[in-house]
Amino acid sequence: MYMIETKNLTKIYGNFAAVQRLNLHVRKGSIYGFLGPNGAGKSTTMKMFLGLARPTAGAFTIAGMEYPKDRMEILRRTGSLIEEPAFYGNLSGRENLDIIRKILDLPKDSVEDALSLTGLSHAADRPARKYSLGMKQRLGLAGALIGRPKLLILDEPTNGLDPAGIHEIRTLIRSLPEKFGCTVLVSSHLLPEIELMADDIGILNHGRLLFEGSLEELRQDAALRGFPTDNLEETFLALIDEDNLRRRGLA
Amino acid sequence: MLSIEFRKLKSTGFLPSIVIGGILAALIPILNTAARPDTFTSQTGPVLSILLTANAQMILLLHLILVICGACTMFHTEYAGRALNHMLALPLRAEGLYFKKAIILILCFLLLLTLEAAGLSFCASRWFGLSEDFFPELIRYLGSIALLSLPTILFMLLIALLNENMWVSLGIGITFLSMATVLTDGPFALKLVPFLTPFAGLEETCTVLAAGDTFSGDLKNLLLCAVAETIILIIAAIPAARTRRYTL
Repeated sequence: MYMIETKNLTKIYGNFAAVQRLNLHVRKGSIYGFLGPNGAGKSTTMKMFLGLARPTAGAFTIAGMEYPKDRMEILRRTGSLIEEPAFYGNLSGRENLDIIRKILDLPKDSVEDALSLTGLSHAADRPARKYSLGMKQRLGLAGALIGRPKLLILDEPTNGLDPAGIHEIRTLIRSLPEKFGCTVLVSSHLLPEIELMADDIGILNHGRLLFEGSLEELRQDAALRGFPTDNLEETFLALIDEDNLRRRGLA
Repeated sequence: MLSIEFRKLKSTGFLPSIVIGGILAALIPILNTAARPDTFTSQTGPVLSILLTANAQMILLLHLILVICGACTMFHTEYAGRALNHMLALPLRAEGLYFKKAIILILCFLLLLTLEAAGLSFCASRWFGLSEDFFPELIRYLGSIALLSLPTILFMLLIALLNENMWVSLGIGITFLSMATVLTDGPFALKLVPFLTPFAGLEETCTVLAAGDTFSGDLKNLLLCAVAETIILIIAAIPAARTRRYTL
């Protein structure tokens, strides 16, 4: 059973294809690592899932619900952190989360729950504009995690965090499917982090999905094609390089 | 959900500015009359007409500056920390955000008019004596100005919604306001430009009150057009807000 399923999902800006005929399958209760170089189309794909970008072609379902018909219900069950953390700088961390709580119609204790999950309780009453980069990132995560949604879409959630913070957030994300029955779609440039977190991965390059499957399947596929299999980073780079060479050859 | 929109304005200075600005505007007729009472008490005609002819344009100017700054502040809080990006990823209608802010700004404008009424009433009672038709005329005047200013408020909010850069919205608002103070003598069609409408209505209202008439034909047309513009702006705001979701 898939939490997210896309069918030939495409997004074209002018004459630039950001996402091309994407067929993604995110298993329910899993952590899906979404990889790709800068400009591959990861953020665009995530924005389409949240209705922040309109697909040019194709379709997708989330928890069996169709976009755009069920957009509001999809958003009610999805927490997200896309690109940079977003917040009201004039309000405290607690007040920012309280606004989200009211919109999602959650109980009052979900604010404290989100603050303690992300380690922000000690700074909750400070204005968000006075937060450090790491604290802003934690606030963004808290805003995504509040109410323990069934689907989490996280775009580089460990940006700006120190090594201890990265470890903490990685451990948190790793525990979500088991503890809260959550499905997580996470993108990152930190391939070692994805290797430690993800059950399945999808590799995107120039809007096209080069690979989708488990890490073990990726290793087997890479071995068959003569790519390095020592670590995810080398396999990933080899896949991307081959695709880029093929594209230049075709061009 | 208006409470959420009010909460977003905390520590922005929005509400204190509205209250202080409203009090300053209400003080204009009081200080003007106090400085030279004989200039006004020696005039003949309805008291409200005398007071409005001397003070209404300045008061309205200050009120609309507060509307411009208020609208810019409201959307600046959304854009500054990219909060709007996250809001639109929640189960919220983009146009709902706009309309809730519109309701708050309209309520604030009504507060400004209430303070203006208090200032004018004080002047009338202190220097002229209150006649029995003063308050009905005052309510008619304030109701006209409120209706004529609705398109301005909605238009300014739309400008603020569409521009991420607060200074662009502020510049557009001030430019329109500057035009409004000099172009009120133009053809009727020109008076329908949102910022010009309340000033054009002001002149008509003062003339009507001075003559002791009910609404003139031109003022009635202006009021009807203001209603039509309000409806058009409400309808235009819906696709504008929804499309904004895709352009952030």
